[in-house]
Amino acid sequence: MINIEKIGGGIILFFIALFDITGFALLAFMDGTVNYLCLAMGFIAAAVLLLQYNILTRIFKGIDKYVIMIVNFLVAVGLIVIYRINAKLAVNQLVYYILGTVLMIGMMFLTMKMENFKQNKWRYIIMGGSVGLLAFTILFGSEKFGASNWITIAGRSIQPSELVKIVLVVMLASYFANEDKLIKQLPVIAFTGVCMILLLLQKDLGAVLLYFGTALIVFYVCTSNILLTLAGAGAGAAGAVGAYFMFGHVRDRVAIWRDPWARYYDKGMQIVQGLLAIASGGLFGTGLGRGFPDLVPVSYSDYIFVILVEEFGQIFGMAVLAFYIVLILRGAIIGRYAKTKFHMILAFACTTMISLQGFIIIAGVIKMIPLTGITLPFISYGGSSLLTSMAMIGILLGVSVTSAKSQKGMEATPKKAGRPVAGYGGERR
Amino acid sequence: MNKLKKNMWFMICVFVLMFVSLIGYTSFIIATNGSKWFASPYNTARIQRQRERVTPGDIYDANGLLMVTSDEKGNRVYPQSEVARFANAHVLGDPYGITSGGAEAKYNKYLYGFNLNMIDRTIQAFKAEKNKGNDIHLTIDSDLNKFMYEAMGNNQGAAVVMNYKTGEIVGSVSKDSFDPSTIKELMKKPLPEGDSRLLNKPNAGLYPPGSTFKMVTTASAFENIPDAENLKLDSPSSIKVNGEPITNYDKKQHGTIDLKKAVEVSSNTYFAQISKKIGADSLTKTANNFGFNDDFAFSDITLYQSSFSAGTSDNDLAWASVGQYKDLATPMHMCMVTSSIANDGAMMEPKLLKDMKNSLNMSIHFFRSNKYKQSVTPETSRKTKALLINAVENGTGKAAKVSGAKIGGKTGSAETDKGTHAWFTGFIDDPDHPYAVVVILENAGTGGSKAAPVAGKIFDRLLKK
Repeated sequence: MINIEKIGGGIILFFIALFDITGFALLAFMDGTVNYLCLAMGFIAAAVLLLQYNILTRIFKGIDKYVIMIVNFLVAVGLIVIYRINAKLAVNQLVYYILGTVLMIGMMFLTMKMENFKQNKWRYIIMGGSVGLLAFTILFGSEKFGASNWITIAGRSIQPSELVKIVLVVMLASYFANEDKLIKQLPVIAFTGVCMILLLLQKDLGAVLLYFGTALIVFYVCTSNILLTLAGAGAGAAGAVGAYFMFGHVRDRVAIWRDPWARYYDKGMQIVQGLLAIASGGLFGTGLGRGFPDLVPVSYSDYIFVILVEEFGQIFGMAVLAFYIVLILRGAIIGRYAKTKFHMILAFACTTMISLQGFIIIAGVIKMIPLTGITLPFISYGGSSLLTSMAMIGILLGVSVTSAKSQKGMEATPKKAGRPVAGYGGERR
Repeated sequence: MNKLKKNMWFMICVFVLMFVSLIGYTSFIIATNGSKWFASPYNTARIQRQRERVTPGDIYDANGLLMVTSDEKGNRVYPQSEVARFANAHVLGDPYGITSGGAEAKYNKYLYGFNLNMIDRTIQAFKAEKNKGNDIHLTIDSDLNKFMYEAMGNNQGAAVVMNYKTGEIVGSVSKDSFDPSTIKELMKKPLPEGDSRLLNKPNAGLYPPGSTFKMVTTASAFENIPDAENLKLDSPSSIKVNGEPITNYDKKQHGTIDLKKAVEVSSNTYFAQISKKIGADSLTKTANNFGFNDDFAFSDITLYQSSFSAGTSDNDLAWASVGQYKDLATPMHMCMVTSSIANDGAMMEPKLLKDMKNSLNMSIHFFRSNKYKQSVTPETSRKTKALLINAVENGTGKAAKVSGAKIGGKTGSAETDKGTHAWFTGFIDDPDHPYAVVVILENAGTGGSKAAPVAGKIFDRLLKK
């Protein structure tokens, strides 16, 4: 069997950089003329990847290099597909990618600094601020794609529901790592509930589902309280049924999911065209630039997965899903070896958030569950979304570096099996 | 802390399973529905756009005759004569998704090159400016289709010819028809009420099968009644079942007859009595074995579901056993039923795609006939076949006879509110000419007088082939 740690990151890294450059080169030469901007974007994306990887792995021994590689690969896939759909958006996305890298490193440092977080004053300030931000969005937000979850600051639209996700994972970890009694955990449960209500009012159903799922799973994992978890799930189900009868747009979503073909001209068109795009790609895809992404509404954001499958093929689509699986497993390993309970829960909450988000949107576009508008982490177009996802990766990296540092002492003792205790490699370069 | 870790691992496994289920579900829906979705009318936008980049492939008939090709702009061109265009219109369908289930729609994935692989594309990139989709060869004999179209005269209806050994659809005609080269103009204004020009009647036309269904009832009798051959019953012009009358066609009375004679003269009163002896459940079972109530999902054609219901009373059952009551069948399905009787009970899947060629003119489709199901035992099939051959030799199907050939079949005169549909369904019992033929002429009269002569002409033509 090939030992992936022996191959080392280098060769994987090389292929990701190659993917960046060839992907953009293909697009640059597509219409018979050379598009230098496009060529340059490939090199910039590759440069960001190589710089980011080399600097981080050199400075921080024990950082989880696989997480870095997977995330950069997924962003690269997104960049290429977005460029293929709309070149202007891809330039924006490249800027967000660079900003996201900075934010990621920032969050990494912050996480390394804070091995625990339990000051009540700050908890309330942050939670209060987040609720205020979401409430502000309802009052002054603007509507896009049927959800009014955007606020515009200085000409740029941002999506507070994305940013509050980070607050949610930090708060969940803070409370569940430090408070054992249910009564003391109540503030974060209440915070989640209030956020969900505010998001529901913004018609951001995907975010509601995501917040709910993440909080419930973290609650179950930390308390092992099956009874209350089931009660929570029941309350969620009751809430879903209630929302179904109260809100017309929830009923629409379910009806479209059950038979999008019958409602093609009544909002079912996006799902149908998405399925047709998936079906027309075949195993190896139509080839980059040879699909028809403009037939699918919002193809660059929520629906990016179908374009990816149409042009790169089903096998590539499966490979992307497999990358998410590896990312989830790396998240689990990072959490497993975390130094403090706060870090452990933090890493787990981030992993949960990313997995749920990926699952909700992909399952939605392939009609496995009702579609709720939400972005595909790292791949979809969107500044708020990409920054938030990369910030969460920063948290994961921070946890991994902290634990590696704390285990340095242990590593000084002779290793029997030749495998580092931390188990996530990178130390033996 | 340990419990926390245990829970975490459990949830991580759940997440991984969720993503594995995504992979599984995606593969599953593409494998099961991919082709169907692709051929759906909602996909016309994609096909229209693909036409800007790819010249659609040509369509040939079984003898290599060019039926459809394209000009430089990618518009479809029909090089055949006008009659042939009308005759083949429904087999071909149209490239705009207006008619459903034609070859253009069913195989658009290949015609428009969505299945081209990397090697194909590379070769084409060096050969021509615009890619070309794959060429398709159908099992249809275009000249036979034309002959059938003309033989049907001014009648509306459908005619189907199938090779019962392989399932190849050799002929398939739907009338009224349209000229595919003028489809664009045709679609500019809505069709008048009741205009069935765009309906593919062989595959989508549901008609009461009338007495042709007696084939199924006869087979069921052989399967369920011991010594059915010698079952003699009185066949008056009319009998009462549950107080309601069952009558013979034209009120004829036949005296005491056996099953052979009953098939020969097509006696409703005889079948009304025998259906009760078979029983509703057994007859329904046989009908289902023949493909009634099946949700056909064939790769080559879109075939509508035929229905059979034994109803709730003996009277319902009696009418159902002679192909009335709620019985409905497509001509293509009746052709499959006849084929299976001619072919020792083996019902072959209908096939329309014979071959597919890539840009190097290499065949990239492997034709393989496929047994859809075994309808009845070979023994039952042979017994039923003998009675059907007798019905053409001496009975209502005489007009379909061709001298020197062994032909079997069953007539039908299906009564509807508007008139009587003339049916004939039959086969040539000859390993060199393994063909089953179905003819239905709408509101034309009795099957024996109207449909059987048309079928006879088709048999004659097939035997000369």
